[in-house]
Amino acid sequence: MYAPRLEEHFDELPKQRHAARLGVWIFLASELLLFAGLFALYFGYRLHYPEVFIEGVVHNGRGLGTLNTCLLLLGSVAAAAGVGELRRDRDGRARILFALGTLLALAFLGVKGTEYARHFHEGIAPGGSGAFFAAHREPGWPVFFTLYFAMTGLHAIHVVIGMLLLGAVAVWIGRRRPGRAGAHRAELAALYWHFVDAVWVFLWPMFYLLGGGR
Amino acid sequence: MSRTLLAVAAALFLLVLAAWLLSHVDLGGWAVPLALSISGAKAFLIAWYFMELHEARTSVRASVVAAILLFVLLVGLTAVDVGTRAPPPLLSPAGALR
Repeated sequence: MYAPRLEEHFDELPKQRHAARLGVWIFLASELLLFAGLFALYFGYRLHYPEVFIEGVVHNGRGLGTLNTCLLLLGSVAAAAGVGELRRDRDGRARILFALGTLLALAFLGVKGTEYARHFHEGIAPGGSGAFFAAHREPGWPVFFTLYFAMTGLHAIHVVIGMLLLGAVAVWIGRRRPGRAGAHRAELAALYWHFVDAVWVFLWPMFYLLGGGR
Repeated sequence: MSRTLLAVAAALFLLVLAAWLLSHVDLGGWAVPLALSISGAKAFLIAWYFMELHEARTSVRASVVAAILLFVLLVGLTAVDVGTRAPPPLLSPAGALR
């Protein structure tokens, strides 16, 4: 039977859990500010090169970005449902839901890899290097695609970490069968995954939808 | 799966559909604020229900509000700065862009 350990500097479990939850939230707040610099660059440059940014979004197309949005949202639903099932002592269901979240994260990375491969094939690489930029000489083009690679790449690193966390929780539930006593641990991993999802819901329109209706 | 969870999931996918449909229309200057508002609504649903902010303590909510305020200040003021700059007073030296 799993029982969470009470650390010596806490006098009861609820306080320990609140401290852990607050710690994760403060960490996520710092992560948000890490992304803030890139968001500021994006909107600053979008105002500076509006035509190129619209053309860049049209060039990316909606399809793969929309597919990835659905994959991430489904992953979030699975993680939230997994925490709920664990709180009801349904370890088996919780394990399946966290494993499903892990697979959806893997699928997201597969789609993202396909998209990057397509860009490299077209001669689009970070920093404005590649044959594409020889034919598109306006200075906004390397800016758009460098921001695209920087922001989606940083996000993809977070997806990898989130995927490992969800996978670790699925394995842990399978081994320890923690029931509701372990729901708090699963909740902390799910918090990170939801944050990754919340960042993507902004990146999706910025790089795939705001193409002037085309 | 609880009813609340299903309702939030349905609302999220409806917002995805709305954003996708609106992306086919040329909304001019309204496109960015509208798309970001829909994204904001989705992020709110994720944070409020999936991340359980609705039952979080004040200390957790305060850290979230502070982070969002700082984010909006940084991104917003940068955009306002670039968007309201007057044209450069002097032309670039001839040949500088060659």
